[in-house]
Amino acid sequence: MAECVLQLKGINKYFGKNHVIKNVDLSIEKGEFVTFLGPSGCGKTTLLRMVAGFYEPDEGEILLNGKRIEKIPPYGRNTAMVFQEYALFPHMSVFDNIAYGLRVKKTPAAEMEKKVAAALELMQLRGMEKRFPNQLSGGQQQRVAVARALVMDPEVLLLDEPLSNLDAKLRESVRVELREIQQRMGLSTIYVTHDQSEALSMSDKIVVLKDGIIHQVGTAQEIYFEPKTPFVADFIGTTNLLKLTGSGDGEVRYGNIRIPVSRSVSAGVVYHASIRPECIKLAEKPVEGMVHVPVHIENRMFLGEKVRYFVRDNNGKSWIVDMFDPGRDLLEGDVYTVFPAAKVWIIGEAEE
Amino acid sequence: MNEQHTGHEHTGWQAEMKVLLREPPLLISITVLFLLFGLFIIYPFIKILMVPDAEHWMRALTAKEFLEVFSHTLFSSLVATTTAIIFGFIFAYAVNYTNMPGKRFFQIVALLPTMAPSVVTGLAFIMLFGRRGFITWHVLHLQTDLYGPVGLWVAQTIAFFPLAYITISGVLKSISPNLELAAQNLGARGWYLFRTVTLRLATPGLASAFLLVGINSLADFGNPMLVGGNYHVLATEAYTQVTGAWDLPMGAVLSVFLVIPTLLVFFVQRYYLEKNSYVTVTGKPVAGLIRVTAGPVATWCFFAFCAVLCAAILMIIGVVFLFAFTVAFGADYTFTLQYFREGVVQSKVLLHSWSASMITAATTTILGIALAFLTIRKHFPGRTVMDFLAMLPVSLPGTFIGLALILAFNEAPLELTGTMAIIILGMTLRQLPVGYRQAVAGLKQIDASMEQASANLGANSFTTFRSIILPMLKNSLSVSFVYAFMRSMNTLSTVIFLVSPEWNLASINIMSLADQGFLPTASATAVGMMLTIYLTFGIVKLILRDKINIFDL
Repeated sequence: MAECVLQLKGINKYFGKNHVIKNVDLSIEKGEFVTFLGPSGCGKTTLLRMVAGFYEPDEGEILLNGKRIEKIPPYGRNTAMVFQEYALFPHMSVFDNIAYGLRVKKTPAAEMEKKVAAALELMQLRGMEKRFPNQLSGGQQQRVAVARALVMDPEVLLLDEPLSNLDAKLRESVRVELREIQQRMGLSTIYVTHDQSEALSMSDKIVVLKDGIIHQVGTAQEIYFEPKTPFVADFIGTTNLLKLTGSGDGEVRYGNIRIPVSRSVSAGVVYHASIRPECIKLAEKPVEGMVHVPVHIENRMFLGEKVRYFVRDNNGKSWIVDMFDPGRDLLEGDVYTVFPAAKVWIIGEAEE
Repeated sequence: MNEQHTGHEHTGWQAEMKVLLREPPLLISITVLFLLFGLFIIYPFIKILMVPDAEHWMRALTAKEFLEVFSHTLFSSLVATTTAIIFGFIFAYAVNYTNMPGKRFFQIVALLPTMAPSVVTGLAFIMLFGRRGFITWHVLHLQTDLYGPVGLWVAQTIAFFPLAYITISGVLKSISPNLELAAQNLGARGWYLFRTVTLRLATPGLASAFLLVGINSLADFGNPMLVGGNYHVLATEAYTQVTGAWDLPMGAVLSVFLVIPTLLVFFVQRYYLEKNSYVTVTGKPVAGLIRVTAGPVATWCFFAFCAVLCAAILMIIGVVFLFAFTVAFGADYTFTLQYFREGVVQSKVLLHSWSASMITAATTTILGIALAFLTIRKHFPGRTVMDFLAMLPVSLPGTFIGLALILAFNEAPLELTGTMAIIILGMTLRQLPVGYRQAVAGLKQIDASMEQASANLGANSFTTFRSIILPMLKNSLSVSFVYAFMRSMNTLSTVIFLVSPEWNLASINIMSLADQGFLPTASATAVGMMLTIYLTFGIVKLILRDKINIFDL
């Protein structure tokens, strides 16, 4: 078991009457890249700010390296943060911005210069140390903000949607770069984002939040393929949410279509299930050993690497099916959705 | 201005002229505005420069008495400005950066003096600390004489503290809290955080505030008149030259000298400070994060400071009320309405002040929006000149404006001296920059694409203006209306040369009554004035149903 850097225990936070963080428990291991993912207003930024010390939790404990820190003010925590708007000091040069925290710590001049130079080198900012923030591009400002946090050698590095102000192309390359630096330095990192592709591509562990509740904690694959709530299934990527009825002896039914499942199900109970569009194929004839649902194609979109079909079955339920490597032939009319039963993931019992 | 805002791709004045010729109403309104500016701004100012001859200029620069007046003016305004700025900064910092109790109360009290002419501070000073002052004579039995530089310093510090506070509070609010959070996140706190981030970011704004308060105290007329005693400053000396020695040219020379430093300040602010401001490069503040950077001990020190300052202000307002409603405060405490009757009910001055100020407020608001619309949204030759002329009066001391107007309009065909019109003209000139600046700020917040959308949907310029721009500007317009009204009510220096026995104003009356020793009647008039301002605010608020709160600064 790896060493635990940060632990959140029973955290609750209220803004007036709004209960914005509800009983959050979480632990982050040393060197781990953890992402808080969720729609806006889910509490991810609030949680991050509590770690930084900008808010105090109303209930619960925050432990950094085993020590309680929830009463310690922000300046005493060493949890350097990269702000969404970067928050670079406009009246200081790049060098002074990066050196700020070291100066506060009264780092000897020679060591400070060495550290800043290393950070400049790492973030490819060499030669820009004399410039001011308003003379930098958005991407460069972002690098300065990261460098300023990195030189502090933080216990936990906090990143608050740091890529949201960059354009799409740049965002993708910075993503790779950030992850590389984090792994090389073995930095424990918390990353806040509402962008699922950022979360999936960078994280060791993803924490999916909604309305102040943790819906699931897991690796990218786990939350993608084995979502624990319908919200997670729907929020991460695109999916088809189905309601299936248990019929005992390892089978569920969709209408009168039988689907064998590997987990135990109780007869008569309704389950939420998810199947990803790329796991389904469309076929004009049934295929042996597969689950078939007769559908009618209502619409389709050619997207280059795939064609996305919008189809409807006899129950009136609409499905999304992605056909990859489509060639030039497009399907039309009445077909079957075809998929292996194993691709159906039972999320859990539906509350009704 | 920003090219992309208009959608025109023409550049150069010839191209702009062509566009203008295609829109006759626009051309006509621009021409009319330039003619008005020429007649009411440029002409009087040329006139005031032409009246004195070389001998006057020489005498002003060499005579010992005038050199003394120069140094008095600079010195007294420098010290008063410095203390007012320091007080204002501490107060603004306390309100914006601490959790001290009673913040709301402090904020309201600090703004009370702005609802009365600055001369009320001088009046209260006389009543409290004068030769027969309540504290100095009745309580402490002292025979002191605080008239002169010390008295002036105290009175001006208190009088200009609110302006310093309002301005600096705005500066502090414009600093993104994210920057302070980032500094805290990197380990900075307390004094270090203040010194390296807050103070450094506020410096350009503080310099602006210093200049603004400086201009006002430099040009202040009422307080030097009442408590300056024999310590003459330029504004009062110019007045004495005109009314005492009948030396109009000398008065003109002195008021021109008063303009030099204020113009200098104007240029520094316009072309240096605004370009070196950090405010625009910071990100948007995060909602819900309240910055609290002062520790408990510091917070209580701030609290004590604010409490003392507010007590002083309340004492000033209080003593004015007490003098107004007792037979002879200090000797006979019987309640009386006699002075109120004399100063308010039987006197026409309040009505004059009110109507002149209302007309001024309406005029400057409308003129301001028209000018702002033209300079921000339209391209035409002379646009920058128009912008410059609309802002220019902000740097002109009231005495200078007043003197220039009586010199320019005292003969046919435009003989305005001794009329209400010249009073309104003076007030309007003085307040025009307020209305203009508010309208510019408001317009800049409205994206030009909204006007383009309106045009795209078939509305012409006039409909767009009426149905899109005006409603969106409502808030900033009502703010400028209210401020122009308040400042016109309170102005003293602008109208001191413009009033006549027939058309006298309340602020002037307070000063002359106080100067002649009729303190209770002066106090009663001041009370009437404050009440009038409050009532008018209330009515304006009711009519416009807006959310502006003058105390919400």
